Amino acid sequence: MNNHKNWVNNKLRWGRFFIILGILLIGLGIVIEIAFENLPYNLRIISGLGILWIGVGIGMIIRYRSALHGNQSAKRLLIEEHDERNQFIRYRAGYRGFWVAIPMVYILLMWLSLAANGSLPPIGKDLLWYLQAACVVIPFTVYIISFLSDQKNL
Amino acid sequence: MKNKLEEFRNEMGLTQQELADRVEVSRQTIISLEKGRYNPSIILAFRLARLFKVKIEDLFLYSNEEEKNE
Repeated sequence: MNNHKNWVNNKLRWGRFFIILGILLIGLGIVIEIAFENLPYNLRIISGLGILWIGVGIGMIIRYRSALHGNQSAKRLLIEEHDERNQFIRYRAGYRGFWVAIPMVYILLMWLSLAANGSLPPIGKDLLWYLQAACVVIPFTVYIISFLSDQKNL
Repeated sequence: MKNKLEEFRNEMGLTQQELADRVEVSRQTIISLEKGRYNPSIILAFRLARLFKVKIEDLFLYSNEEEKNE
């Protein structure tokens, strides 16, 4: 009986861990940026990653906290997570997101390689940050849209 | 794929949620199955058939049309 609650508690622990990890990454990004001013590396990427992990952690805590009230709701949540239709929807969304991410990353890497030997104009520091962020945000958006669309239509 | 899930469920007097709990899937999966929008895995098909004490082919109606649509 307690297995379902243990499972929920374990998920909550992971949620808290991701929030702490996110805070540490944001702190690390800020500290490195202050300590090493001229590093040839955009340190906002570290802080951005921290924000991402905080989002993941908060999302997990919101999702799993509601299941702590009763064993039945914890069991239903466990069933929902392992439900074959949900797994299929997640797999399909991940597949679509992956095939959007691959060409984006490939084009960006090719551009950077060709920019390095002068064949293409170089990408500025700020634009590079936005493009890298887009390589995460756009596939994730595709994942969410695919997920919601399949939830509705399948 | 067409199926007689709703018919058997009603005969047994189960709600969608109760059926979902019995075969350990979400209620949404039962809804999708009943509407014929989602085809179950062989494991789930067996679980449902065993619950209703019928053969899989009596529960899920596989026709040549289905094969053409694959």
